[in-house]
Amino acid sequence: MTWTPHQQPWDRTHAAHLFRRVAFGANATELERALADGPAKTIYRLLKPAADVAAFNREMDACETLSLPELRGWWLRRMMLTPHPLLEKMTLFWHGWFGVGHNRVNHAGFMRDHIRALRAHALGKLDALLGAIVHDPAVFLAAGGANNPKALPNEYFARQLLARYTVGTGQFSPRDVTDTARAFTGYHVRGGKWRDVPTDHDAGPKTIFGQTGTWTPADFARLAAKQPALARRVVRALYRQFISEEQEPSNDVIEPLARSFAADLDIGKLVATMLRSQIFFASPAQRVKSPVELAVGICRTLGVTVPTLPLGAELAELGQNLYQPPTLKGWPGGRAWINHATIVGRTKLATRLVGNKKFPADPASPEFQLA
Amino acid sequence: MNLTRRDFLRASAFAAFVPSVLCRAALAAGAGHNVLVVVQLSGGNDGLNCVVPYTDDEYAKHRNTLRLTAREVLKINDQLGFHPAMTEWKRLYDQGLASVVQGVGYPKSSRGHPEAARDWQTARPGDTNWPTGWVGQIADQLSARNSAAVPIALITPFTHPVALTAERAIIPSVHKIEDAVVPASAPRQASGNSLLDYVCATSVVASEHSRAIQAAASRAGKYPETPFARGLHIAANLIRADVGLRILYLELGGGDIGGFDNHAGQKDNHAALLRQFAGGVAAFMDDLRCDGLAEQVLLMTISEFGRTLAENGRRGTDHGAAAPVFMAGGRLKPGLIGAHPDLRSLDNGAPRHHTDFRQVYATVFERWLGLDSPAILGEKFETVDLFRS
Repeated sequence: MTWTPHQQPWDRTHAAHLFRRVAFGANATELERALADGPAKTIYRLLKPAADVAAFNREMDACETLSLPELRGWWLRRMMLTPHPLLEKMTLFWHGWFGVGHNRVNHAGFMRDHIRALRAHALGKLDALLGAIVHDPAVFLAAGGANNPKALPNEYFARQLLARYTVGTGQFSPRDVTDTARAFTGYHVRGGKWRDVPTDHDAGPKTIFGQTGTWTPADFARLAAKQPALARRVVRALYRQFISEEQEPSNDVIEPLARSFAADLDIGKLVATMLRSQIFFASPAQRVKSPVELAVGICRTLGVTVPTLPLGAELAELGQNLYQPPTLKGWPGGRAWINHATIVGRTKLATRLVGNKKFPADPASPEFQLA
Repeated sequence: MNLTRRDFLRASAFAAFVPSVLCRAALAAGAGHNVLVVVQLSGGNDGLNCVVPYTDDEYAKHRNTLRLTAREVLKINDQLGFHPAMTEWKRLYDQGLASVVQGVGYPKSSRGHPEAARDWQTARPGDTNWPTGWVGQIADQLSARNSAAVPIALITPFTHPVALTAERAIIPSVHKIEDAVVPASAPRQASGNSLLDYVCATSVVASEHSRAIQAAASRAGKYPETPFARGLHIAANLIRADVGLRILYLELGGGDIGGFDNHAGQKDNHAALLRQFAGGVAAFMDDLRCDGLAEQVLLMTISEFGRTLAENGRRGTDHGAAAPVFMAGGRLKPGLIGAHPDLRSLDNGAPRHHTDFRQVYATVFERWLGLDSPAILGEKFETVDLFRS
């Protein structure tokens, strides 16, 4: 019932809600077109834009430098200009999920490549995403996995892989920890370089999630991707991302999506199901715009860009520093974005970005803080 | 305790006619309204030239260009004296508004800047995976019940240090007092959307705070013309505004050239920094005392390490171990706390610590902020006798 596709009504309010949630807002042209096309076609286009997204992203990639403030600025600019805003939203979603921050990684190239890997798989297959993650030096550095010697398997890192990145706290056994750590032995990050040292890898049999084999990190990614516990966590996190940060959904709501997601691992399909649903359209103003969503949303609605180097710093002060989530747990989101200080900064930023321009909403209103 | 003093006075004005002077005195005694001001001395402060053992031959022998003599120091007793640039600090000290905890450090310091600074700021020395700073942890704890509360602020110019890393709480950076000023936001009726009501209520309180801060900042203060003193002036205004802040974090030194990391040509630069420090803190305390707020405030310095006893041949000193922690406030037990490190028993060329910095933290958390210190530090530390009871 919950996930039944929404058909009617379809008006300006519904279309604006859809674009706010998944595309940082819509400009007047996009909104008119959405009204003419109806929900099914509009959602399809948000998921698979007709434009050459790959070419756009190649161009943006070429602009990126190895300075963190500049990387941050280029990403914001990419969000403002991209023909595929949902892809950037999902890249940001996974950035929060993995919580990889430059303060631990301390290597701009690794950070740049990490976000690019997230973008490459953000709406793709979960096993491919995890496959990239288990060979991503930024992840190793951020999650305390720089060293994985065979003589002393890194159980701290294994615990992060299990508790933070995959099945979640309470969903794994001590055996999963020891054997995941063993699966990662021989994979190190040393002196700013990725090292795969086969002689330091424990090639013996391991049992992870109840399955035994001579597992490697790639095998861990494959096995973890299929775990129902991970599917449930992802569905819950996406529910928070797209539907509501206020209501904790019941298992009955989560279970049907988690089951099909665990079977096909198709992130894009999962997101599509959520966006088409009745519950999606029945839950307006149930999320707080993140600082990035707030700023990029105004720019996309107006169809303008602003200097993103200072904007990146300003958003960091409002609690969302791109390339630097606070901890491995990512950004808590929801009400945590709004406190007695940030509401002042957010309101000032929004009114300043809108300026004297014609705008469909009052940027100083409390309603404007929500999506 | 989420009520500010003003909330309390407003509430009590209806409840009973309690003289406001009494209210203030009663509440100032409670840890719920005490404010901690942390001053990070970036780079590793040379404690030996702050609290100088001017009669000690070991000191004299190893400090060729940096030695401060009996004639120069501001004498505390017949063995120790403050750096001559710290005249204003000495005045506070003599007025009973300042103290110095001597010989503070910790075991197994790596003596590298980022590592040692991380150790002091996470309060989990050696745990490279520890995710949060101690100030950030306190922010998470204090805002757990009300996510709209802002118990902690950073006074810039300074980017967020590790100490302020929190899991959930967003700690604001205050550049100038005008940043806090917003147009009035009137309360609205409940909307049926609790999230929207939360935003509205937060805006209303924010605009009340904004007015309180404007009022507090309308008075001119007498501060030296230094960035550090400007930061303390902002801090004093925020404290005066009584908007629920419990910890304010500032920095002095910048951790680069011109900071406390004086490997070469230390003499003049260190003196300039100490003058800024002493002048700023004294102006801050004077300002607070005018409003009877000194008893509500504790200022504490942290620095990643002290420096070596011996000069390094470049008129500077190298990374050391123990150093003094400076405290200022109206409820301190004045004087020197703990012995000066024995220069005949060095820790790899530097003064050896006898007091763990986490003991100082534990004391401040428990006695000053009313917090459960093991929850933040991971274990129980013996406290230090810092406060007048």
